[in-house]
Amino acid sequence: MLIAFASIQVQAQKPLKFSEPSYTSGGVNYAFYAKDKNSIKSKIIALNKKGIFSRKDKFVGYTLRLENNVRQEQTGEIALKVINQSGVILYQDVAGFSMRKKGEFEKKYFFDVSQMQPGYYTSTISISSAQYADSVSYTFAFEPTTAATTVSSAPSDFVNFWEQAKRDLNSTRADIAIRPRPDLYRKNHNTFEIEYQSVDKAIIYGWLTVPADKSSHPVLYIISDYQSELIPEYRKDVAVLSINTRGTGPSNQNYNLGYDQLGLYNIADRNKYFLKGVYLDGLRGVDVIFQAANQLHLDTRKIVVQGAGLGASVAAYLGAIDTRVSGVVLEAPNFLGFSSLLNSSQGFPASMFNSSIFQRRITKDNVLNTLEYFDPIYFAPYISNRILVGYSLNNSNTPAQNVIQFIDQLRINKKDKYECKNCGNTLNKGFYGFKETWLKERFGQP
Amino acid sequence: MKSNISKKIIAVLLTISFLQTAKAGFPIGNGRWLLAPTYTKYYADGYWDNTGIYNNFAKKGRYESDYFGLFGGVGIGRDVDLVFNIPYVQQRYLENGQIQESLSAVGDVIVGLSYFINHFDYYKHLSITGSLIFPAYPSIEQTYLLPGFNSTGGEIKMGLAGTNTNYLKDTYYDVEAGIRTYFNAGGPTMFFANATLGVPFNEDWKLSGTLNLLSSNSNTGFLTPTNIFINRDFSYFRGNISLGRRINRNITWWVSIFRDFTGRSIGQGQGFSTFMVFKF
Repeated sequence: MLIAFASIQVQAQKPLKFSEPSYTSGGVNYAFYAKDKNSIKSKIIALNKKGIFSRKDKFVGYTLRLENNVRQEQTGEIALKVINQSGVILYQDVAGFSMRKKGEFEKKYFFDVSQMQPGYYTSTISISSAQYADSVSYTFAFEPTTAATTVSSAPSDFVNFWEQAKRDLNSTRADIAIRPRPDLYRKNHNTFEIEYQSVDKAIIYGWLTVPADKSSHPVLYIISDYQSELIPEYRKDVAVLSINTRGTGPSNQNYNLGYDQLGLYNIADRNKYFLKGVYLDGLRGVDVIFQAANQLHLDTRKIVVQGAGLGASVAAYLGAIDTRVSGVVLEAPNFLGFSSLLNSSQGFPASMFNSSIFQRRITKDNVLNTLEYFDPIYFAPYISNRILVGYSLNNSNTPAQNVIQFIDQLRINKKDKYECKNCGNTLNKGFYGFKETWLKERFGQP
Repeated sequence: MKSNISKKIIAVLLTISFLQTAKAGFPIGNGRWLLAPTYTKYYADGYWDNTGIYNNFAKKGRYESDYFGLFGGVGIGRDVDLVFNIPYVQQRYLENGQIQESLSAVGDVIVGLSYFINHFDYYKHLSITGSLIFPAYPSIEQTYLLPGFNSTGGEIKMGLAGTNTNYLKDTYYDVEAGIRTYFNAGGPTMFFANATLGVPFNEDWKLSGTLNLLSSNSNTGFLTPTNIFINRDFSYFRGNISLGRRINRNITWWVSIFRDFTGRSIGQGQGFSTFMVFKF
């Protein structure tokens, strides 16, 4: 009944007009305490099935549906912000809502087609009531195939920078140690502890698991996400190298920093910046595979690098720079498209960079001048391997448009992308299922 | 006379069952091959008549067959598989231990295309398979034993196969149902449904059980003036249990026993089967 009423109301509504462009200030963090995230269930339903619109569409937009999960009336506010792929705010609006106990609320947002430019649009919707506070993000596309690419070019010394970085790594002793850990052996797998040295004398730790039979095994090389420690992973017929890059798990000697500090370490100097170390930690991991190959029967022709979040950025870097890698898997990359990210997102990692700018410890230009050397979008054209990218259209930390821009920059013909409409900041079972199929194809396994 | 009607056709049925155990409902994978050579020993000492009542064959009669099959498939893409089955059957009918009739022949060759309509979350797969059936033997010989209906045919089936990730974790299932018809006046038209549940014990051993239901119908009844002995109207319900052992990453070896629980106008079959599944 309520839904029917809402839809009648919408027919009379006029399309929303974009306001004069304004730029976000960034650095604003919503702080929510002691609220029940389950008290409201929110859902965004695009007005056409896939969230991809064209000039022929009568309506461009979506429906926001809220469900009150508590036995109590809820009233509150919905704050909407729509930005384009350059991070320019096109529309802002605050509206009230009220729901009876266990009731529903529906609001349709649709935009004036005549104002739309080809490209990607991200809406951030903050919903708050006395019981609930959360924000959701949703990206939709308007004639994306004709969208002009808005990616600025890489810094002119980008290639030189990474050539020099590689030389820095090569002049650092590796001291690779591969220690058997019989206490962690499994029936069909042997487990090894990995230790090596990377640039800035960082000691990096990880795990290698190898199926116990003597046949040659392809290698899945997993790189840790930002401060998410990897533990040994065991796979049938596949050797798995898991590396915790600096600042993560045991590899935190000299990098034992807080979650919102690690990513800012030496950000004023790109040559000493934290991410440079992380990327080179990842690069040296490939050397471990080659060192272990003969003794542990690793098939060095079949190495797939996989990373989630920050690990995805490292995987993209390896895919671009290391010809020994035969495939890369990027799971919900979030450290990418920095120039628009700092404008468009209030989630991590944008919040970390923005807060240091906000506290006037560093200027935004300074931050971006460093970050652009580490932006996977600039590695994308150099990637020559098979690639699988999984991302969510409503990731509220890093808008999907950043990932889509990365995919647009790939020059290879055979790229696989998995787009999840409603996965939030994670990915769904469908992605992981498809990834298994994809990995089997790369590894040549039935 | 009755016993003759009952013992016909048995070889046809064998070509239909079994291969689900080889995870036939799962996609083979782009550019990958699957080959499954099969041997099946089948015998029946009696039959169910057209009212479903069991009788022994007269004179201690026994029907036996040795079935050698090669099932295979190739993944043309992520969503399309080409599948085939080539059977070779040796059949005998014995009375009091003496061979009365025997026949060795290649049976109905089946070639089909499977299209995966939906992979859902890639842990389960919905497919539709269309196949053509070609008799690979010369026209009917002067014997009661036949390797098939001696007619081209077509088959269409839907399948749903998947791995359970929540309940009964890591078990897999393969359910299919379809219709097969032979392109001649008397048909027959068959409806079949098969369901498999597999339980892996560890990386190397797995156990699976399959139930097969088949109903063959012909508008001409089971006696026709031209092919008086060909039974086209029958049904059965069969169960099998299979044990699989992984030899290596590419090869699994299965042994299987089966038995018909109930039927109509058909021999009460039982036997065993062994097959290897090669994936590469």
